[in-house]
Amino acid sequence: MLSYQHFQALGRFLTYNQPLFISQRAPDHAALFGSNPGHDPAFQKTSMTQQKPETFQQFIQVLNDYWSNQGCVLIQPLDLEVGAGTFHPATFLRAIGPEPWSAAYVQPCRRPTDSRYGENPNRLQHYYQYQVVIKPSPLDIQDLYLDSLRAVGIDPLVHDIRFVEDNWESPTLGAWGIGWEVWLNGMEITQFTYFQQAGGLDCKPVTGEITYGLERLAMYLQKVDSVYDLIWTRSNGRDVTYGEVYHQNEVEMSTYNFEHADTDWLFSHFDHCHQQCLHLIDAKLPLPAYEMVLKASHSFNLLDARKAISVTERQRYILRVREMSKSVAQAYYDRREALGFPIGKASADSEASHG
Amino acid sequence: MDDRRELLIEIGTEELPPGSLNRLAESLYNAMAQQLTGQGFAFDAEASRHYAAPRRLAVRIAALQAMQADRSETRMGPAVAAAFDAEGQPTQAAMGFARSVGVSVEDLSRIETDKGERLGIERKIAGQPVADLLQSMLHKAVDALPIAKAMRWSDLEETFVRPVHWVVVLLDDQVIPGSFLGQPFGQQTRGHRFHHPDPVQIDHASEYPACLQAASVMVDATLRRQRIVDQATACAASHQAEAVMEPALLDEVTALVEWPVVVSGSFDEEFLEVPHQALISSMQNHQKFFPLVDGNGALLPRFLATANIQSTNPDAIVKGLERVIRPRLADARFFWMQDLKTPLEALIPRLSTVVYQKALGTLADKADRVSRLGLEIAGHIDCSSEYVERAAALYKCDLLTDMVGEFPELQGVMGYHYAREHGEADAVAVAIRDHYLPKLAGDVLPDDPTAIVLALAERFDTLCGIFAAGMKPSGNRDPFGLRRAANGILRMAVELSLPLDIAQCTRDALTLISEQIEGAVEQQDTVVAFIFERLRSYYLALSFTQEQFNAVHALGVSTLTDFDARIRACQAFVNQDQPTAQSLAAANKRIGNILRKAADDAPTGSEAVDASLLTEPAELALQAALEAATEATRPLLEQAAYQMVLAELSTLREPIDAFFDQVMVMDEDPALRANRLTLLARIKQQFDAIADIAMLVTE
Repeated sequence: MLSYQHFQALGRFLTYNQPLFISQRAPDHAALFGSNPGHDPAFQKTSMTQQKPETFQQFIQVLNDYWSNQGCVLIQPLDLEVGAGTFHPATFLRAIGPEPWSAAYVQPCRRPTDSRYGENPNRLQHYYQYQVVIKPSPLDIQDLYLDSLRAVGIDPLVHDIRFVEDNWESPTLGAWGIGWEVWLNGMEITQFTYFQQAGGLDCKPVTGEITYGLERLAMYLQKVDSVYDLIWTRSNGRDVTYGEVYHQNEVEMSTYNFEHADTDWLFSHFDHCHQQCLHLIDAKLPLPAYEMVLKASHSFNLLDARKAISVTERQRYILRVREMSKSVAQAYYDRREALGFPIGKASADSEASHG
Repeated sequence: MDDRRELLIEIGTEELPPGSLNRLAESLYNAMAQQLTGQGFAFDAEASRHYAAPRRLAVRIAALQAMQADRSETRMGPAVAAAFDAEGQPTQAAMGFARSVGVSVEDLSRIETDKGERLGIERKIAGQPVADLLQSMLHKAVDALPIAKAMRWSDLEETFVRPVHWVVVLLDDQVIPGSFLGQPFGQQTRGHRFHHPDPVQIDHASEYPACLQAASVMVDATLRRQRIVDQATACAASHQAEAVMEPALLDEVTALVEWPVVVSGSFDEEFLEVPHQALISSMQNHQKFFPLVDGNGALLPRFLATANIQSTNPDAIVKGLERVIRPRLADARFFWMQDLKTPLEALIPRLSTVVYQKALGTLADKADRVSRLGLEIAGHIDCSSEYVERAAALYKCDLLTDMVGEFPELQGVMGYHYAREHGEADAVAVAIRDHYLPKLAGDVLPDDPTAIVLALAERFDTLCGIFAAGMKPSGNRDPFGLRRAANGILRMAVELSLPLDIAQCTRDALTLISEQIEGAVEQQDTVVAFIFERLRSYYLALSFTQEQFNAVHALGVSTLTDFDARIRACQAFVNQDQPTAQSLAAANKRIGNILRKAADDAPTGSEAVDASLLTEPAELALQAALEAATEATRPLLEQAAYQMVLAELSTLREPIDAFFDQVMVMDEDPALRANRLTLLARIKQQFDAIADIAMLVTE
C-alpha cells in the first residue's frame, strides 16, 4: 500500500511497476460528423500517405506535422524539471478559464524514483512525453487521435486498439479528469483525459489532453526490446541510438538521484520555493509563482527518491504542493479575467458580426 | 385502440466504464419502463430488452401502447360555504379558483366530500400519443441513471457518463422529434469503430440487434459474453487446456469489446517457477487475459486474450500481447526473487511502521493483540499455542513484500509461499494463508486448527477494535467489513462446531483493545448484539423462523454450538407436529402470564410440588406425567439432545390441556393455589431448559 501511494502521488500515469514511459494528452477542433473549420481532411491524407517514421526523430516529426495540421501551436518543452507533460503551463494553466487553446509539444519528464542506472531496458528517470491539448475538446478528438496513430504507421484493422477506462487525478495539482488509457495490443501507449478540474477550479470549457509515451511507442514501431537500442536517427550512414544519446545521463543522474542529491538543501529549497510562491501570488505574478510550485515539486520528488521523507510527512508535503497549485490556479484565472480573457475574443466577435 | 409499436432508444457514446456498463443499461431500461408505466403506456415487458456495448446503451420496448387512454381529472376548489357570500354572490376564493382552472364560477360543479360540499370541476383529458411524451420521459429516465462520476466535455454545460455522439429514438420506423445532449434524435447508429466506421441506418426498431450484428457489433451483452466463453473454451481445447475465466473478469472483458475475437499466446516456461497465483494475478489484472491450465489444474505457459477486431493479421496482435506480458511476468519473477532474500521474520520490525488504524495503532500492535487473543482461543480448541504465536507474529508480514505491494489480492497466498520457503512449520504457513477465509459469503472455511484460531482472533480484534474506535457500520456503509467479519466468526463457530463462547471472546478481545482505547470493554454488549443480529440473518437464510431464533436468543445462550443445537430442536419440534407445538407454546405462554400475575407469590420452579395437596384428577395426572417426563429428559439434557427432550415433553400436551380445562389454578385456598403455581412453574422450567417455547406461538 505504501508503494501504491508512492507512485500515485506526484504525477499521473503508470501504475506501480508498469515498465516504461508514458506521455500525456492532446488538442483540436471539428465536430464529429459535421464540418469543422480547423480540420481539413486534405491534411489528413497528406499525413497518411507520407513515409512511416523509421527513427525516433522522424516519429516526433510526424506527430508534429500531424498536430500542426490540426491547428495546434507547436511549442517547445518547459525548461524546468517536471514529472509529466501535464505540468507544463501550456497544459495546466491553459486548462483554466474560458479561453480556447490548442498546443502540442514534447516534454522531457523526470521521475527520480524510476532511476535504474541505465540497467533496466524499460525504465528511465528521464524520458519523453508527447503532449497534445485542445480546448474546448473537439467532438471528434478520439478520431483525431486515431488518425495520428495511422500517421505513424499503426493500422487499426491489424492491431487491437482499445480505450480502457482510466480516470486521472493529480493530488499535487488539485486536478482530475475522466478518460482512458489507450491500449495497442494490450500495451498502454497513451493517456487520454477530459480535464474536469485544475487547481480546484472547474474546467469550462473542457480541455482534452492526449499524452503519448514516446519511447514506448517507438520501441513498438522499431520492434526493439531495450529503449537503449532505439534508433534515434541515421546520421552520415550510421545509426545513432537512444543509448548513445542518453545512457550516460541515465547512469549519472541515477547515481545523483539516489546517492548524492543534497537532502538538507532540498528541504530548505522546498521551503524557500513555498515562501516565494506565496509572495509571488500576493504580488499578482501567477506565472513565476507557478515555477516555484514546479521547483518545489521536483525537490519533493528528489527527496522521495532519497527516501528522506517519512510516510506521515509525505502526505503533508503533497498537501503543501496542492495548496500552492490551487492558489496559483486562482491567481492565474484572476489575472486572465483582469485582462478580459482576450484569446478567442476577436474571432468570436467577428463571427458575431458576420452572423 | 390497441395500436402497439416497438420503441428503440440508443445513446451512442465514447467508451463507457466497463464496471458499470450493464448496470447503466439496466437502469436505463428500468427508468424508461417506470416512466412509460407512470404515464399509462402498457408494453410487453417479457419481450423488451436492454443492450450494452462499450459505445452504446440501448433499450427496446416491445408492443408499446401508442396512445394513452383518455382519463378524467377532478380539481377541488373551496368549500361551498366559503364560495358564496350572504347574497349568494361568488367570493374571491370561488372566483380565484374558477380563474385558475380557466372557467367561470357557473361552470363549476358541486362535489360531495367527507368534509362537506365543495366547488370543483371534473375534466376529461384526452390521451396523448407516446411519441409526444418520449423526449421528456427519456430526459427523466436519464436523470435517474446511477452515474458515479458524470463528466463535461467540449464547451457543453450538460454532463453524462461519457461524451454523447448520437441518439436514436425510433418508434417502429418513425423518428421521434427531440434531442439529448445536443444530439437530435435520429435513425442512424454507428457500427464497429474500425470494421464499420460509416453510419448505419435502422429502418425499424425491431431490426436493431440485426443491424448492428451486420455492422460488427454484438450489442446484446449476454450473447457477447457467451460468445467469448465459447471461443475461449474452443481455443483452450485446441491446446488440450482449460481456460480460467473468473466471472468478474469475464464481465469486464465483455464490457470492453463490441466484436470479441479470442486469440491465444504463450510465454516462457521458465516463468512457471514463480508461484502461479502471482502469474495469474499479473495476467488477469494487468492484461485481462484468461490463464490456461491443464487437466490437473496446473498453470500452462499460455494465455487467452479477447481482441476487439477481426485482424487482417492476427499474428501481429499475438506478438504484441506476448511482448506486453513478458515484462509483466518478469516483474513478478523479480518480486519473488527479491522477496525471497528477506525472511518474513526479518520484516516483523517494519510492522510497527504501518498504521492499521489511528486509534488502534500499527500492524505490530494488531499482531500483538491477535497473538494474545489467539492464545486464549486456542485454549478452548485443540490447537498448539506455539504455532498460534508464530503464525500471529508473521501473519501480516507479507503486506510488506514487493509482490503483495504490487498485487494486494495475493496477501496471505504469498505469505504462505514465503513462510514455506523459509522453513516455517506447515501449520504456520497454512494459517498465514487461510486466516483470510472465509473471504466472501459461501466461501470455504479454514480447516487447520491454527488457521481457525488465527481467523477467529483476527476477526474478533477487527470487529471489537473498530467498534471501540467508534466506527461501527451504519446503513450500507461498512468500510471495515465488520458484517463480513461477524459472519465469518459465526460460520466458523457453528459449522466447525467450535465450543466458543462469543461473549467471552468479545470480552477478551475488548480487554486487549482497552490497552489502546480506554473504556473499550463498555462496547461488549453492543458487539455481542451486533454478532447476534448477523446470526439472526444467518438462520433466517437457512429457513429458520424469527420465532425460533427469538425463542433461543431469549435464553442468552452465547456458545454458538449450543445455540445451534437448540434452534434445530425448536425447528424439529415445530415441524414434526405443528398442532402439538402450537398448543404447548400457547400453554407456556399462558403459564408465563399466570406466573407473572401471581407476581411475588410466583414460585421459581425449583420448589417441590407437595403431592398431598394435589386433589383434582387432572392435576394428579399432570403431576404424574411431569414426573415421568422429567425423569426421561434428565439424561437427554446432559447429552444436549434437545430435540429428544422436546419430543419427550410433547407427551405433556394432553395432561396440560386437561389441567387447564378442569382445574382452577387460583384457588381460594392459598396452599392449593401455591402448589398449583409450583406445578406450572416446574412445567415451564422443563421447556425453558431448551428455549423460551412460549415465543414459538405464531399469531
